[in-house]
Amino acid sequence: MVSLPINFGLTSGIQVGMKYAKQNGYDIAIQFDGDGQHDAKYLKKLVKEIEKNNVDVAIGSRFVEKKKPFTARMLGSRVISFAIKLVTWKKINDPTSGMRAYNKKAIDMFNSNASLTPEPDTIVYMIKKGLNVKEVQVEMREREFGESYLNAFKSIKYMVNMMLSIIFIRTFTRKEK
Amino acid sequence: MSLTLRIILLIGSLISFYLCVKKIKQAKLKVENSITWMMGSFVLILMSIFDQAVQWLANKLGFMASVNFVFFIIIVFLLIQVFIDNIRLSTLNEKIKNLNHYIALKENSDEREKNVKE
Repeated sequence: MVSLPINFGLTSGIQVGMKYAKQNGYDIAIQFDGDGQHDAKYLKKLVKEIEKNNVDVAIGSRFVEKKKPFTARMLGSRVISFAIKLVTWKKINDPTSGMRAYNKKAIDMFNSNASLTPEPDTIVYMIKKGLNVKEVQVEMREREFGESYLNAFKSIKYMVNMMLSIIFIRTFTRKEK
Repeated sequence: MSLTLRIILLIGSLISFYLCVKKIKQAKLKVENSITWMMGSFVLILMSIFDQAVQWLANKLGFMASVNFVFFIIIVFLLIQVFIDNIRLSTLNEKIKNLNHYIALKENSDEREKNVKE
């Protein structure tokens, strides 16, 4: 366990994990919520996808085979999905999912670009850079303890951030030749 | 510009000039950070003294009153200052984050080395 002396937020936590993975030469890094929402048994599925099917980033998605419900909570998810489709022409059904697996290529990307976060705009960045992103059907539970970092005000801020990032910044991300 | 405004501007910029020098002496402000403030207050002093020149320039640039021109200059100056500070803040943030990561990874690897030895 790597513990940080100062709380610097979720993004910083993911980035230190990525640094750790690179320093120790890991092939795959997994991003996973510790609040009981995610079930570890699906991680094998994600890892298998990377090992067998030449996928660079595997996302644990709730809505590959299932329909997305029409609730207020899923509205934001829909808007982000639509924005991603607009920018990359790729359908990501569950862009806000926090269960993801990254291969070496994606780990390197995290290490070389400090603006990458564990949020949907990073998926857009990676698709734009030519990485193969794939969703895998998983089940998620309601969170068992802890609280979401999104309340009403923050989720509006989050949405504005994401839309700005996806539409105005990531649109101009180009694949390197 | 009215005489009152000119006097207020003059006093205000003299005070800010004095504060800058004082803070530098107390080592609470770096010289390179204070340069913009010094320049800013210096320009304001000049503007309050040479009223005619300001009037002429404001007229040429199409300002209705020379006061507006003075306020415009102040606003532009402040915007630039805020922008520079924002960039500085982001850089500092990034540096602290990297230090944070470095400490955490270092502690982790030290811990593991200790465990191996035992």
